[in-house]
Amino acid sequence: MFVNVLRAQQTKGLRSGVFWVEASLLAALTALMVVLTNTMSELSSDAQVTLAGQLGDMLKQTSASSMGHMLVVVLAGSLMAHEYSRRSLHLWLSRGVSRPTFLWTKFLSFLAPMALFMLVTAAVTAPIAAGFLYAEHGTVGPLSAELGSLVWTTVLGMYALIPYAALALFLAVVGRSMLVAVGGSLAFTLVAETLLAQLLNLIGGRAVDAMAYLPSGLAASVVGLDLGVIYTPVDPGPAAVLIAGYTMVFLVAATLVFRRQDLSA
Amino acid sequence: MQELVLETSGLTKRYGTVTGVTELDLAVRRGEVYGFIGPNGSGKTTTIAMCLGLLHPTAGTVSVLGRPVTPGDTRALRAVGSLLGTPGMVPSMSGRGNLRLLARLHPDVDNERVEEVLDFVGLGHAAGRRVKGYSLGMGQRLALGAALLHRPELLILDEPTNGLDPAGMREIRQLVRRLADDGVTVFLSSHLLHEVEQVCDRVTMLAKGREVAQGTVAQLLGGREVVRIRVADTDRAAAVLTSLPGVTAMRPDGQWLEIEGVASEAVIVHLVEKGVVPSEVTSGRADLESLFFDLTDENNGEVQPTHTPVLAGRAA
Repeated sequence: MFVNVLRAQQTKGLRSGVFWVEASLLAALTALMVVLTNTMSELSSDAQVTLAGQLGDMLKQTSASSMGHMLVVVLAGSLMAHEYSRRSLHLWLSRGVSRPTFLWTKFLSFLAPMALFMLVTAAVTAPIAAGFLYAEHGTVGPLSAELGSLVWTTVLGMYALIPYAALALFLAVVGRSMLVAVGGSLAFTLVAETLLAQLLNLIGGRAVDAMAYLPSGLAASVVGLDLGVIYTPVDPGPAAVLIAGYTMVFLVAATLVFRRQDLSA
Repeated sequence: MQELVLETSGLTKRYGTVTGVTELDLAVRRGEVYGFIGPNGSGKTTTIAMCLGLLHPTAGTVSVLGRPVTPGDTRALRAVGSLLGTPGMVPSMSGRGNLRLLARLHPDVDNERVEEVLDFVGLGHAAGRRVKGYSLGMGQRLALGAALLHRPELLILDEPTNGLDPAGMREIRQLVRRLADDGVTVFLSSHLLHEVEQVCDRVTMLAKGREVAQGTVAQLLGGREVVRIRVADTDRAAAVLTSLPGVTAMRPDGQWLEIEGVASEAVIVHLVEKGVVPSEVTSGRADLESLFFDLTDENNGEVQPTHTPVLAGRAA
């Protein structure tokens, strides 16, 4: 039953209009960023960058920057909120699908769109960056040797995004609405984490190091993205464990709330 | 003793100080078409939602096919098909696509079965169209198809004719009877009492969350002749008829007055003796609607059984 429900959830997710809009937006933004990066490096005659390097950087940006977090919370929040508004979860639960199964397959179904986000990033970056590099240097640098590293960066990038998916799922369950799910998650991502960083900065001293333990800081640590922050990042290993911790807290809380909810007809 | 496929015992649902359903006992036997009737807001949908594990009962139990059903354990519902409220299909997918998606839950349901169901509910011609382009009636048919997909032993339908035109309503009634003839137990809720009367074997009547009557349609309506008289002054006629022995209910309806409990001849003789001459007199069998109004006072909404609720036919 679990696998069957998961397959069905994945189908729903990949057919979602929100996913395709976000994928298109991501493609456009990625293209813009790659063009700007290469244009600025030309002007400054700085930086010899290889295709593998540019691909790695863009994959890290997608997964560990605010852009990636926003994409995931909007997708996850809207997909779960739609289940309430369209009453589709009533349809599934009344067929004997247990509530934990529904919720956990919903969460796992977010992985496929997240993987596709990373794929879109790579697919858009590669030709544009290759064009600039070849025009500038006559070569794109060694790529085949870096493929394994790029795949690993992709996997780490997806992993870094899962606490945001779990947070959006939790808020969707609690609020039963897209406003709470997406709005709350965006508020956390764009406002709370940012404001907290500024506040801790003002406090100064070791307080700012607490930022390293928020999901955004942990994501940057795991994928190895340099955000130019003044705090000491957490080592990737412990950061990965803490990401799992955040994810489990949000998922367990969502499950407990969901199991007790009355789903009015 | 016939097997019970759906049973509730003392089922209650309260929302704070508001009671939705009060100590409801249901016993639906295998193979029958069971009507669950009452006006809007009487607790029908709340009851069905508890039976489907969507609401936590405040008290009482639900069992389906002999197994308990709670929001935490809905395994028994895998043999149940249901239609509750607005169907939750994926709007961007076709009707066929939606059914194939649901079919993934059931290993024994293949594409051939999906096509069979689409034809059965009359959507074969529109199966490839997106659900967001469906009319309300088409959406109801698709939801019914979804309920039938896995050949359920029990079908729970909440207001299945909602949004359908008269032809569609008749088709649903015929479909329900066909399913019952095929051995499917059908639990059907509706506020359209005349519709239930045509298709159900037994009914439970609900008002303000409480059971007010239960039994076969024949038992509930047996011996209930309704006499309708047309008079110039219904108030005077009603006052006169209060002295006629055997009158159990009177209902004014414009220039008409409906009387239950006595034969038409007795009404005519009594009125004429008192100087009230009706211009028209008809008589016929009572229906569930008139029974419902007898059992509930529509002026103040109180439940006032004027008949002892019939509990005949319950399995021991």
